[in-house]
Amino acid sequence: MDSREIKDQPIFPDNLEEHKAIYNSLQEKLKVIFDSLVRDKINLELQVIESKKFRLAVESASDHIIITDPDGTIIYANRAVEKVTGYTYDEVVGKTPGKLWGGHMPKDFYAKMWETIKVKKETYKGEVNNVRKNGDPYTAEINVSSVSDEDGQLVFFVGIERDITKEKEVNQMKNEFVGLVSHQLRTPLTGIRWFVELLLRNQEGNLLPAQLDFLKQISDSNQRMIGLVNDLLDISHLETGHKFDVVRKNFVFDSLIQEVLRDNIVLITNKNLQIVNEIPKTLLVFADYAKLKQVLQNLVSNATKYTLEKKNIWLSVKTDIEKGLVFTVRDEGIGIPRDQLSRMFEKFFRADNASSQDPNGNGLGLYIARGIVRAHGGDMWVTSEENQGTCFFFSLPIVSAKDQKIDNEVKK
Amino acid sequence: MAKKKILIVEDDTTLAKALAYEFQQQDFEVASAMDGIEGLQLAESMLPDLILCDIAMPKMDGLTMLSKLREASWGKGIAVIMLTNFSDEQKVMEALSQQAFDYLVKSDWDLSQIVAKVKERLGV
Repeated sequence: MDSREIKDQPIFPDNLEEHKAIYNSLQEKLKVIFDSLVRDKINLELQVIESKKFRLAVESASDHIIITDPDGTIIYANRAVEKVTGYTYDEVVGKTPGKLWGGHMPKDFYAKMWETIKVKKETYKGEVNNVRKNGDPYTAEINVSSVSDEDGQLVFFVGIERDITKEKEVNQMKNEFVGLVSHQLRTPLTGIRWFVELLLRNQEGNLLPAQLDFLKQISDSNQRMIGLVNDLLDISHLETGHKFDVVRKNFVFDSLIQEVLRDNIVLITNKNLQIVNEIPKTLLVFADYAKLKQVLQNLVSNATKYTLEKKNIWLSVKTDIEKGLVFTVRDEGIGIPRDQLSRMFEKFFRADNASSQDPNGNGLGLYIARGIVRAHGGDMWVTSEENQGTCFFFSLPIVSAKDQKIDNEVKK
Repeated sequence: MAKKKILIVEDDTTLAKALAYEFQQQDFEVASAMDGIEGLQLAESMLPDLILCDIAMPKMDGLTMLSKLREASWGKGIAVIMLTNFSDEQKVMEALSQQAFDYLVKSDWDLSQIVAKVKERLGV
């Protein structure tokens, strides 16, 4: 007999014990339910506190944060949204960013973003040009992620924007300044170069060997300074956002290799280095000759500088379905310390063992080389083992004849 | 054989002096101008075989001078090499579109290399 059955039954002295037991058990159950309710209540209160905490954090974050439904309609906006865009909370909720501050980028930008967040369900990161309510344009770094429920069903998107307009302006000014100063520096540097060149000819034959040596030192320092100015100008061009002016044409890659090897012949001969060139002599590439020469020059001169005597340097190429042509410059040099490998392409960074080998380097070469390769649509990366050697890779996308034509027409 | 005539249009006196000295040494007949206006006048009176022309100059810059030179009947055929210390400016592109033919970044070149380039251009 359970509690339901005994409800309507009269209580007799002989089943009193039975009733007592049932009531006791009911009381126990109620107590458990009550305890669990109390616990739930406390948990709920904690959750409320917790969600208040999160809400407060999101609310007062300095970055602009919005939550939208799967169609992009805004369901939440934090305070920074108004601060950045000028639109109030009530003005934004229920609308899409495209109808407010967004919608000023090319169509394919948004297409790519939607594909990343909605189809691939990955986080989209990028830079975007928007317009504030008052009409002022601004640049933001955006980060949009999709949030799904347990069943993988898309519930909403979280968009975080950081206004980087000021940052970009300052950077632009800095680069323009560097550019300006560098151009100005070139004229006096040219003066020193030319007059030292005239003196070094020692036409009258009346300069002492020591004096000629001093002139050589001046000339070397001057060349270094010119190199530094050229590097700074390259960086200022790379960083001002006007893309490196890449003028592409078809050329035989081997002619570029031969030129670079000639430029490095002194060190190659002095160190008795063996250059193993496995790149086909007939390989044609579609790229900016002068700029690509700068890339190869940098890699080959690094390889010769940091490789000990009588060792090998390999030049090779292979094709990759995704990357196109992948070139490698591999040496048996001093290598790069493992903990410094990831910093090799940082501006002004030099590995510890490189500084001891060549104290005159400025740490800009690889940064620029990678910038040039990227301006061609490729990339550059490195693998290395300390005291074993280093291998630099760079890729160049293969450009179809049709696209080469388009590229040339755009340049005109 | 008559000396080849070269006109140097360069506002920086130090650089102009080095160039003039070097070309005289190399047996050229050399004239120098400090700006585009003076450069055009000299070019018309001496009809040089080649003009080495700076870009950034006072009064009249090198590109304006170049376009005026190309407008004049006597100036159309004169070889011109633009000298600059800008590397990839729009300006250089403009110069190329007007068929200045060559331009060089001064600080990247030795005098001897400039002479070689001029001689190559003049076929001597």
